[in-house]
Amino acid sequence: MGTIRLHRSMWKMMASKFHFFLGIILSILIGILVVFYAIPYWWLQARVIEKLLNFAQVPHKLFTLAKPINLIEGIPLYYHPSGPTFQIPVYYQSVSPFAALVICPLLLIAAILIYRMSFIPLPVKVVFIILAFLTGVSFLYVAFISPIPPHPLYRVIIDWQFSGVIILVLIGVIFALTVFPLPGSFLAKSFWLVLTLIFSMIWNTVRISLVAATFYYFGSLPFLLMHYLMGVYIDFIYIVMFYSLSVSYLARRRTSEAGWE
Amino acid sequence: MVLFVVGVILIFIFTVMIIYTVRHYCFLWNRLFGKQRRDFQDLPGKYQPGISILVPMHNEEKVAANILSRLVEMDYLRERYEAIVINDHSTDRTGQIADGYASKYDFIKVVHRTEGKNRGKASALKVGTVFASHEIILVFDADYQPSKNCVQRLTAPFCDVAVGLVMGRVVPLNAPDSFLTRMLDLERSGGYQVDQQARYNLNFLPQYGGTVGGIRKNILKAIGGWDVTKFAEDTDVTYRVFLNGWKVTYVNIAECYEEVVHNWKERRGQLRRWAIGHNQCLFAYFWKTLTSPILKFAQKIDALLLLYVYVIPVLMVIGWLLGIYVYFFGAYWWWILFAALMFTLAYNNVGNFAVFCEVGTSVVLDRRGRVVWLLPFNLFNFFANMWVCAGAFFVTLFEGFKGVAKEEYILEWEKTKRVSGINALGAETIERKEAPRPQIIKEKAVEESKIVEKEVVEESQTIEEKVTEEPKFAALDSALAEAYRLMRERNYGDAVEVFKFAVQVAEDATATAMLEVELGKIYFILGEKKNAIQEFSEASKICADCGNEDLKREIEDMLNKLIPLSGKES
Repeated sequence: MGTIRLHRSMWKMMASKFHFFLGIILSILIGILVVFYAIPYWWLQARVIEKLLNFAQVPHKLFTLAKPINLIEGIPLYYHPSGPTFQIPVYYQSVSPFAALVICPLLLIAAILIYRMSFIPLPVKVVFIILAFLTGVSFLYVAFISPIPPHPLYRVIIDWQFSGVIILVLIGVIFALTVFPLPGSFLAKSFWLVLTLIFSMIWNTVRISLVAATFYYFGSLPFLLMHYLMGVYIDFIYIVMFYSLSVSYLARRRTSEAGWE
Repeated sequence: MVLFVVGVILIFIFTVMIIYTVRHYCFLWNRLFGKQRRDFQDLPGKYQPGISILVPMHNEEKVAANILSRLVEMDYLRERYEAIVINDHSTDRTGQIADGYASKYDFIKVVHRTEGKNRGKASALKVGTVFASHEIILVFDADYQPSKNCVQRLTAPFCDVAVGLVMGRVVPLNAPDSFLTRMLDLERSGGYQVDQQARYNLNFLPQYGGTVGGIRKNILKAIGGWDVTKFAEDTDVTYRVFLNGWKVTYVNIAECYEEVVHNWKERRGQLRRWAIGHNQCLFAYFWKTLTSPILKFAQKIDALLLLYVYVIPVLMVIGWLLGIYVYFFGAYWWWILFAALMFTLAYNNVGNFAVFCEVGTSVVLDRRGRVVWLLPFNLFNFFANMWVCAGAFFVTLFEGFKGVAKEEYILEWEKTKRVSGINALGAETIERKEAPRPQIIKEKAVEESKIVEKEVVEESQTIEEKVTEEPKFAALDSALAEAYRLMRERNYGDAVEVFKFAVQVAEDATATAMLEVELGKIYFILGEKKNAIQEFSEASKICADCGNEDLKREIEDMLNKLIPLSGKES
């Protein structure tokens, strides 16, 4: 067993209102940058995705449905698809109703069996049940409703590009509200904010490439799952991860008790 | 039409989530920027009323010795407290261990419950309360180990006569044991360091958690005592005390160490029990809270949100299922999809994040660093909570409809399995296999109705006895409470009068001397140095034979400082 410091309680830390204020300003600046530079950023991102798809040997064609000059103009155009996207030859898997009716009970039995295995931790069981449920629903959809996914790939790419810039604003807001008020150097906080933003941009680019390649190589069924699972949940996890790293850094860098009550 | 209904339900769920998000961020910022309440925490050591500490035990042989050792070592006047162990139908060596301590220490008493079908923590507490001879009752679970000054700090708020319930902070002592214990350590940090303290700061409702807390006996009696029909007797008492207009306070600095559950099976059982109990309270107190004439609007809102916390996982499951429906069948409703996507994105990141950043901030407040790396893994804990709480909600709903819950819940102990029995502070413990039983009170309850009658009779007898035998004690406690209240209000003139009264009714030399010291301090504050010197001199005379060396030194120090000051003035 490791050691643990038992006495912990502290009444108050001297939170920095000034850094909080600067953080708010930074997040507003990020918002302004996103509004005015989203379209060039999307095009830059599209070119990188193009390179990644070339690397993955996925045949594609980059095109645009409309050309908004900034994000504000892009929002109304959103209802009529706009922005850079890709055309990729894909195949739609068809699943026979019989196969779906066999697979779904099997998934159910597997879920029940796993749920009853006492050595598997509860969260793992719950995650498996969620995955089994999503897989079952996807099978049923493809078998009984349509082999074509409810959201076409070009649409998904535009959605994710759009959410990829909104998340940058949200990251700024989250850091301003939760990290900047903590005691510690402003430079360190800004460093972690920038690092999170860069990771977010890279991740979003990789994610779009990954879902396009999945559709090309594995068909519509895995695409359905990928689209659902790699959406907002993953964003949440990496933001929490960077938040925890930054908080840990700030807590450990404190060398004296100054500023603490 | 279906999509429209789904859209409306989703908007409702999102709105509820947003309300909770705002609540969490309010707590966070209050903890960061707000004024932190630390009422009465300058009193420990000075205000030490009589207390009865109840420790209900059921098969606790692994941990019983630890808590009893801690209670022996407490910084509290030994003659002012008693510890009552309620050994409730244990089949292991719990009773023997408790008896071993009782034979060595007079202040430890053991109540053995061996007969009768009425079991469970609330039932045990009910019996323990009957045997409690002091006005203030503190409760500790058997697997908890209070820090040395925990009891002092928990007792201090009771000097305010309006305080009915007090809660302290729980710190896991076995956090490094496993992944789960580390997760629970983080969860507890966020819950106590940020959530509870912020609720106390904002004058909302800090929740009494069934252990590491205390309640006034007469208030407990006035609100109907412990409710044996509820799984969460703690939440039940919290709401009854709060709804009756008494203050519920939280003492962040009163730390008590706990052995958290080691495996997910135990965790699931614990969470399920909490969720069912909490939901029982939701059904019982929702309307009373909403229509309470005593609570302020903000207090009502927060109390209602607290009541609903175990319903939120159900809403999240419903929202998730409807989200899947919209994903598959709402594809061409672009506006719905777009709104849902953006809203989910925003909520998921900023909303869900609120809870995580509460934990992160609490870790910083706790002055710990690396442990926060585990924060992303709390998502697994979140999944498990969602699953168990959703199930528990339907269990409560179903059993509520069936109307059988009350009869079933009162019969059994629902508790977590103790594994390691770690001794938090490394002190020696006493265990005797065949110890004499000098102070054992054997309870031979047979039928539930008889128990209740007996409790009522004994309770009233105890109170009558207390009133007849110790009238001055009661008067002294009340006088002290009033005096300290007046001092907090800066009403020093009246405080002097009340202290003078207290000096008259105090029987013990040490207590009288301490009161004289308090009087001297007030005179000093009022600028009446001669009177102050007179009171300190009086205290010095009284204390000459009291045997309290610390007090003697304190009085001498004060006199040495005051006499030269007085000379300069003249």
